[in-house]
Amino acid sequence: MTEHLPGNRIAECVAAGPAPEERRHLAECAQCAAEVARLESALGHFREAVRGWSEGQSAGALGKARAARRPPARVWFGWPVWAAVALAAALAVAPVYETVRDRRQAAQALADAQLLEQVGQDVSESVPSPMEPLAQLVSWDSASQESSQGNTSNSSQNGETQ
Amino acid sequence: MQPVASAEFPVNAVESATRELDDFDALVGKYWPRVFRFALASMGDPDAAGSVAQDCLLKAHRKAAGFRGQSSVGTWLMRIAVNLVRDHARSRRLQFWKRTRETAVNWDDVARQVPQLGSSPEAGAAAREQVERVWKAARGLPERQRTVFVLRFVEEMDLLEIAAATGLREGTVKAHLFRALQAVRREVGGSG
Repeated sequence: MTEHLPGNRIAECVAAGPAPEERRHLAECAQCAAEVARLESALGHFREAVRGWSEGQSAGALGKARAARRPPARVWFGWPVWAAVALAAALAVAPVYETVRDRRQAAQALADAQLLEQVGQDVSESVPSPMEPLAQLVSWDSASQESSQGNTSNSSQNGETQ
Repeated sequence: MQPVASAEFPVNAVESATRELDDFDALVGKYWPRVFRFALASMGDPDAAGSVAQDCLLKAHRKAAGFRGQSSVGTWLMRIAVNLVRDHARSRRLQFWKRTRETAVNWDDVARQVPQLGSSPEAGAAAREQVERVWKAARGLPERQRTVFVLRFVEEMDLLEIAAATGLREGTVKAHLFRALQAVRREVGGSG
């Protein structure tokens, strides 16, 4: 009895078709023929399954691919519309801008005035602040002298009058 | 653009192929199913397969001037697809396998999509089991063996076309194919 075909020759028969010698063997050996048929059948079912699966997935995948390629939708009205929108926006913002600017200017003017007033006060003072106690003493002495002189004159005046 | 003839393809054929590549919508209409199917069978992930198919057709369209007519447009596209699948798997290996696992295919469901799998419920169940076993074996193949296997048994390309699409010699294609088939045969339950 002829030996059965080894596994690699079974695979060769399925992959590239049987050579004449193998073809003769397959015609005589039911077991090898059945094994080739079983492998071919399994591969045929696999092909059908993959093709069916691919057909089911293909349209969806193509839709996704087309959507991914499509540039994002744009709303386009033409340049006159955009120019009008820009002008309206500028006009709407202008009063707000003016109000804010006026407020800032007023606040700055007030701050400047306060500063000038402070400087004016400082400059008008005749004695620097560290010397103020001494100046007070001096002013106190002169004030007391003036008062005593006043008293004397008053008394003389009084005496004159008395 | 000026088509360039090769020894295998006359000028008219190259002109015709170049026109085909120039019309992107027609190119997608004609070749999307095939390129997508190959990528899907190779990667098992519909999203990744769609991405590869899109890149493949765009690349072919942009490089139409480089087409020399050394093979058919279909084989040339498959060559681009083979490279893209390989690059995709290599450059994003971790992410790719993670995502593939996340979107793992339920092959029982896939097998159910083909109503003529067996004439009786028992035969249908046996056929579905065969499909699952072949898929399992194919997933376990090394990258080149899997590519050659898919091109041969899903796309039904002959050995010379596969050699042109993969850039391998015919003898190397045969060797990969035999090894792949032996692995599938073991999984399906062959004797010897």
